[in-house]
Amino acid sequence: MNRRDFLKTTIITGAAFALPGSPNPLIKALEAAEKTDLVAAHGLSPAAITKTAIDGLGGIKSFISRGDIVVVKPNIGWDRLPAYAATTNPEVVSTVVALCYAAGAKQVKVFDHSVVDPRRCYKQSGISAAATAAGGIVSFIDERKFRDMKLPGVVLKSWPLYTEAVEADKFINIPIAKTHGLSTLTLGMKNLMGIMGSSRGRIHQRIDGSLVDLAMKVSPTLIILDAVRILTANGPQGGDLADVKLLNTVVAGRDQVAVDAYGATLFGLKGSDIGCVVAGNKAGLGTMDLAKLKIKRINV
Amino acid sequence: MHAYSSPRASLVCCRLRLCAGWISSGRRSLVVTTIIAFVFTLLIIMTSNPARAAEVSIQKILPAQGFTEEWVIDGKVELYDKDTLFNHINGEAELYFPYGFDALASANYINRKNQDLSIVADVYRMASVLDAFGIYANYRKANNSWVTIGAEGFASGSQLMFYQDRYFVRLQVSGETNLPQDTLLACASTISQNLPVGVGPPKELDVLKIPALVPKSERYLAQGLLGYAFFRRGMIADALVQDEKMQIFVIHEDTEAEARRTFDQYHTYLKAEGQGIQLTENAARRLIIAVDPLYGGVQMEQSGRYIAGLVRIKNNSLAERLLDELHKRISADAGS
Repeated sequence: MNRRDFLKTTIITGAAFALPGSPNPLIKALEAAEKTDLVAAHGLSPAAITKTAIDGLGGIKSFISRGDIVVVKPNIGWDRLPAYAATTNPEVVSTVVALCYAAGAKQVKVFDHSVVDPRRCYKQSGISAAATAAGGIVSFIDERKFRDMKLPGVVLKSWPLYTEAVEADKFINIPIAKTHGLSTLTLGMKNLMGIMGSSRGRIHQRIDGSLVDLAMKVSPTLIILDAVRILTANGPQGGDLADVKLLNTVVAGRDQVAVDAYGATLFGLKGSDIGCVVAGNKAGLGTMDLAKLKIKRINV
Repeated sequence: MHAYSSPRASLVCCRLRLCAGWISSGRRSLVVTTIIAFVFTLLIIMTSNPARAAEVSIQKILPAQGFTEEWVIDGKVELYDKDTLFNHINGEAELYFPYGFDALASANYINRKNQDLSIVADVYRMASVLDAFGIYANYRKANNSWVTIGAEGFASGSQLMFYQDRYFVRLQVSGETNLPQDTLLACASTISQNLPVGVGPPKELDVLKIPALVPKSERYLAQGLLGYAFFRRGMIADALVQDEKMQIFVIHEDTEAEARRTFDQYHTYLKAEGQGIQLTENAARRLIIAVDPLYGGVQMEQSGRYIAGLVRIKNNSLAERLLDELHKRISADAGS
């Protein structure tokens, strides 16, 4: 029985116990959650579309419980201002942090393994200031917190991963959608590399399989793809405003493969054009066939 | 600072003097004088023009302190090689490897008055001038603002890139989206002075210089030209004639046999795709006129070690004319 069948059975069983014609809030919530695999919210306010996208999946309380220690993982990889679309939009990040606290989270931690000088990346991206203002616990990566962990993988059997990310009660992945010299695009699965230690070069040698193995291990509670601005060329570091396209969109979902497959369409590509999406689909991590998914598109 | 130092020259002179010891004393002074004169002449030639010195130390290309009073280095010059390039530019590193990336020197220069403002200067050493051009042209756009530096360069409010000799230089502003171009140019000029002067654009590009060539549209792809693995490497550019835009390309194989094999692979591919193909062959030239599944109308010829062609053709007679012009350029290049 898959998730959808399970939910249908639950709903039907619940309905059988409900009085005919009476509205049952439990059934309605289950129906809403069952019907939506992805939400793509479009609008001028990054904060508003982020909240709308999460609400479309049933709201933040569907993901975060009281007392949770939450890790929010944006892309803070580059020393770039938000306008360059090389790092996650700070307003999207701060909105997620604030929503987690509103849902009762005990702590919301924000970090990334920056490619270049983290001091500059955290500051110039605007993420440090925005997340801190929302109450987030922002920290630089501490190399001592990487620990070699077993992965249920084909390519990667074990790898040093950031303990705070793996041991958190909930992990929310917030990538930005952009081009990438090696993996064509960098979306959700690629953003998970920010919790990996050791040599990036070694990961890049067999990147698609490595990303799927990592995604199997980490399995984020929620993925929020920032497409407020996307980087259409010369990624992942960018640096030229001419390569940036304003889409004013945020995509939210639970299925890592589905979110990345939808992300590909923002660049005029298909999920099948992206190696890790194909590999993730094949490995059973999620589905890349958007036609099989319930996708809600909301204008805010 | 040059790669050739005086201690090394002294050592050479000493060894030559030892050799001279076995020569009869009557001729010794003449031979020694000649050798010493030769060595000194060589040293003068090498040290008078850094461009002609065999190599410069990549660590010394970037200014160690700063490039003006206002812009000073933050930290020190960092060096990266093939194993560590990922640590600086992540997956973008893969783009550089086919172009024979060898070493990168990187430094961050911060503004004394506003330390949030910085310029990251990266100097990449590639395998050849053509490779440096190839990686540079990957970032070049038709609407760039061109600057006079190196073999060619462009700049915006946030970037300046140029190539010179076998070096590709990339300057990136952080903390600002519209820095005055003069600042970037000052940094670039300082770096340029420390690089070999070079020979200008790679001469391999000359074969593309037909009248229909769209200026600054040339690219060199070190692997997978047109996305086809059997086109291992080659040059491509836009061509415009009578308002019709096409793309011209030239592949220069090492041997005629390799060129024939590449041609055959494309022919086989087109046949497998079920496309209508017109193949003409004679002793000197083989020609395909067909429809490529990805690029529409195509004409491609193989002549000696060269393959030349056009894609996105709408008018075959126009394309035929351009192919003839390419053929003449190639013949001239092969004969030179």
